[in-house]
Amino acid sequence: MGGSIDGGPGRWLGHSNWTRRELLSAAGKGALLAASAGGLISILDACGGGSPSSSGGGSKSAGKGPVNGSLAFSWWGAGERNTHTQNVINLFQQKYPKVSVQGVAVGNFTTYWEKLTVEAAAHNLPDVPQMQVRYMQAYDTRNALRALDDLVASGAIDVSGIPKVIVDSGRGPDGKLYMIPTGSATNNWTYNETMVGNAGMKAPPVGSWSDLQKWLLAIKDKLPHGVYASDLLGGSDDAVWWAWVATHGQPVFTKSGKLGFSKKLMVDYWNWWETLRKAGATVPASMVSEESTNNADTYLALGTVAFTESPANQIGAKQAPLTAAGKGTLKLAPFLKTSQGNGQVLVNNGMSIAANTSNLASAAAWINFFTNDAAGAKAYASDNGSVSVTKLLNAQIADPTVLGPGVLEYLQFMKQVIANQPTIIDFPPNYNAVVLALGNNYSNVSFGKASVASAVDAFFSQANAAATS
Amino acid sequence: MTIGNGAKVAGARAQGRRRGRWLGADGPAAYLFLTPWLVGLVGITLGPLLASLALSFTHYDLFNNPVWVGLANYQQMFLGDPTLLQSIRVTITYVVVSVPAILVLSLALAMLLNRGLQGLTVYRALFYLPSLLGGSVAIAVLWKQVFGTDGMLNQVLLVFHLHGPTWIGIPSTALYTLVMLNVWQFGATMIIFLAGLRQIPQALYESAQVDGAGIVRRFLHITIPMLSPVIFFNGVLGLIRAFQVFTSAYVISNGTGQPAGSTLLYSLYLYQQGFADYNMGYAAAMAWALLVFIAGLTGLAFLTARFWVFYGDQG
Repeated sequence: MGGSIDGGPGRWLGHSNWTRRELLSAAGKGALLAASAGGLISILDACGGGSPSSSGGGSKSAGKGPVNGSLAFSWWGAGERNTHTQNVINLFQQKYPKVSVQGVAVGNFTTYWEKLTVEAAAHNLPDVPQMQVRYMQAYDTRNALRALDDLVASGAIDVSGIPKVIVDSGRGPDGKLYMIPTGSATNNWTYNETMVGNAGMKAPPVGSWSDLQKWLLAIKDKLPHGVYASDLLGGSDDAVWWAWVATHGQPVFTKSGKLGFSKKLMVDYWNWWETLRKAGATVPASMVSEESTNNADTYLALGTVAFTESPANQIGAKQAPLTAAGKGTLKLAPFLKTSQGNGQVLVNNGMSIAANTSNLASAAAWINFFTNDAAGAKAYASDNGSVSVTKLLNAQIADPTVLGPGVLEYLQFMKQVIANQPTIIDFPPNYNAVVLALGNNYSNVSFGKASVASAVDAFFSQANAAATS
Repeated sequence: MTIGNGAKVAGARAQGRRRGRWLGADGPAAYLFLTPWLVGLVGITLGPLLASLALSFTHYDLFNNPVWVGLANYQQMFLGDPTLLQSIRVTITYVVVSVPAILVLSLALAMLLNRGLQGLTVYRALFYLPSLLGGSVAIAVLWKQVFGTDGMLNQVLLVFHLHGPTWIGIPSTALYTLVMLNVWQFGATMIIFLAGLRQIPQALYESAQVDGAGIVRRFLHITIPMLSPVIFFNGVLGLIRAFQVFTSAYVISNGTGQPAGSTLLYSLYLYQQGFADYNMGYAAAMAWALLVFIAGLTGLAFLTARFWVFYGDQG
């Protein structure tokens, strides 16, 4: 039986003169080498060396110069947002015909940051990457972004129309400005006003955590079959967790990036959710990982829950499917504000300039245009956070004809939030790892794989380890 | 006899000289044609491979220069990382269930197709199709839909008045949906089995039948031994592939390894370390530990092969 594999289907293997032993042995070894190497290549693709320097400079002409050449700009989003962004790019290129903006949209939010990380590792960030306060420190503390203070001082970027609290959200731990906030956003409660009314209940009492819990426990039996009072947000949502910590008067993070609050506070927080989950007031734990990240397919948008946390700027996208299905109207409600702290946290979006940019003048001009140009702001229609320049925000509220559904409500909501001194959190550079630890450990609790106390211990251990890694 | 041997030696020397001249004349041209492959091998495979080995002894956050930490990453792996242990447990369960399952299913189908079926090429192509699609993100997304609360599986169960759970949302079943996705890609394994089955001489079966051997005996005493090199080959390849599965776990759990860490495969945790925790030195150490483990396992398989793999060319 020393025949070769050379007949019938064996032909596709290619070689007709080898013995079976030779062929199988060689193929096995080849496969091992290829497989082992393949597993490593993905890591190595991201490996670069050296570290870029972030330049500041103090010249009065910093960032001023000919606006021309190619400018790479990347953002997260899809559909309508891409259309809005492209419209602004077109207006900018009309004003500066010698510049060509190479826009790159990444549809998935998580993928956007992964892509940016790889690009930063290769010192190949786009000239202007869209940025968010939760992730900015990962880049500015590692010298991947250019400090923008000199561009503001020279007038290349004008931030005079933006409230100070918003501008300051773009500063790194060294006090330098690394992001020009272009859209203010916040997380908050959103509930289905129609469902709540049909259940014979008043609006959720968002003034106290215990009142809110009682309200959720009370409404759960008054909702139609298959509709839950709330999403289960103990691990899948970081914003409610910040609000819990901030309203108990403790910092979410220390200056060194470790968790800044007590373990007891975290135990209380997860117990608050566990009480609701065990009573059936939230969706079961098994439904958490199944929930889509696409706004139109979230449980709130599908009418599966009556109440959840949802960033104010998503109200339009989540209202649309509810309207189409005749399942009610959404309403925004703020997080709690106590004498100890404000649960509303600013999670601003903005634009940064890469340390590796070779077209500083065009990058500065683009950010300045996006931030301050009236026609540009109108074209973007506050798609990713309420426009940060107060004058432009007021103009959009006064003339909401260009705004999408639900946008006017969230602009008015944001105006209140900003006037109410929202909390600013100094997110650590490895915030991603903290979010992962939050989700994984609460998942263990909600499936009965860990006690609340042991999950809190593990969460603290993992989150604090991430701060020092 | 001596003269004859001498002639053979002389002939071999002459052949060697001819080969040498051939290489001498065309060698540069051969190397020129090989250059793209050599550049790829050194630049894309060997270079990064060695670089990752060096990085595994460093703290490297992707942005700044790596800092030498010696064996710290390996020490942390073996002594201070409970999440790694969890991912190893999940991965071993995945491998232990999915590799035998794919071998059994593909062998069964190969034997079915080997019975002189009409339209064999069509069936072969159809069964092979999932192997081409199976590793893709699109199929993993589809899988998420199939095993969701309102997914295809539960719709089928509903016909029998059974209300299925969300298979991907429960820790006890989530991993097995990934196993099924792996098993679904049985086509390549099946084609290799089919090739092996066709190499078994029919005379053996006919003789056994004349001696009164039934189907089971013929399968156990002819098919399995004669097919053992192919089983060995498919098994080793399946092990290597299964230990490195990433895409399906990443897509189905949104990159988290949830619910309750039940889909946190080794490669997914490695990815999290590298790209969520910016801990690329540790991720590189994990990659090398996996490489050494797979190499060891493959070596063990080759060592034990002499006891159960029948190549047919043994004395």
